[in-house]
Amino acid sequence: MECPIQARGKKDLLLDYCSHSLDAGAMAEVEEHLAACAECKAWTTAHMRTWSLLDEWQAAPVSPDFERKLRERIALEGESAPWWKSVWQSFAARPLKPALSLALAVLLLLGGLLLVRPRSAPPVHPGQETIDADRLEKALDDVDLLRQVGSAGGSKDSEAM
Amino acid sequence: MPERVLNSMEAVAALEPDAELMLRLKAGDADSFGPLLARHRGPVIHFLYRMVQNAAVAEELAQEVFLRVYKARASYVASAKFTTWLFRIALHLALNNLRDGRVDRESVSIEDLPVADRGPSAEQRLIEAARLAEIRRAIRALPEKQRAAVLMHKYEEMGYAQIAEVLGCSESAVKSLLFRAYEALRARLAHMG
Repeated sequence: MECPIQARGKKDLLLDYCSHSLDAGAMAEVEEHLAACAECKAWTTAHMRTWSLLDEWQAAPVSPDFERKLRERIALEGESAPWWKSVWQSFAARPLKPALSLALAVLLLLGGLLLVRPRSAPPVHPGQETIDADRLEKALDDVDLLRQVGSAGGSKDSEAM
Repeated sequence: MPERVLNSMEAVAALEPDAELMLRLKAGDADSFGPLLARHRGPVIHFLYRMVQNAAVAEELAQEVFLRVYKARASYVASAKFTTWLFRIALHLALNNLRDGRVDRESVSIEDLPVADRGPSAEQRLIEAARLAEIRRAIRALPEKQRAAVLMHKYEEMGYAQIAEVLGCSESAVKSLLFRAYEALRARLAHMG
């Protein structure tokens, strides 16, 4: 086994050995190395001493009314929360997928409607309007002329008969 | 039952119990908060107590931690281990508090030591109080990140990967932090033998 102190990035092996977090095989391997390596043995002994000193510091017990106080705070927060927050929370608590799909479908429908809607008529310019009226007048004149020619032809035919 | 629903239920069941409780809380089952609180209030309060070294402040901060957890239930996603998330909140609050410099450190008195399992004499108890004060001072003297790493490693028995996630650094950085921290503690406490 490579010396954990000499080898780069191997020191955690000694830390794990001291905290008994190695498996049985690895523990035995480290113990074998410690029997032969004075440096690692000294480090481990000193670390174990520090480790047991730290064990002396026990945390204070939790106050019996910790949970009661917390539940009071939660209740207070719930009461003082703005209305939009509770609405948002109840909305966010539900799965968003159906709402998102619905919103997407509505957007697609609106987009499609915009695409297929008939385009509005192009703006009419004053000059263009005059030309159309002239053409119309000319066409009416032509119709009158044809009617006159037709009626003249008709009377000639009736005379011939 | 639809296959999709069955699959999601299996996925939830395969999650760690804490994440499952959080997902139930998110779905509106308020009773799920109780077991979460019962399981984690001790470790969180103890961690905060050792970080800020004041029992009253530690409990106040722990209340804030659990309040934040409760308030964040709607947006909870079981992407990381629950305890990692919990300790990240706790660490954030502890560091803010320490940086504010508002915490009055408690001094260790004889009254802090349990009477029954300690030496009967007042002198013995004074020695114990002095030892405890030295240990606390040695931990307090560590830089914030080293202190947090040691507390999570030694007292909360967290692995390197989880500590790394809480601190937001790499595993190798955590190992290096721990090594330097333990070396510093060893040097400061060497005289206590």
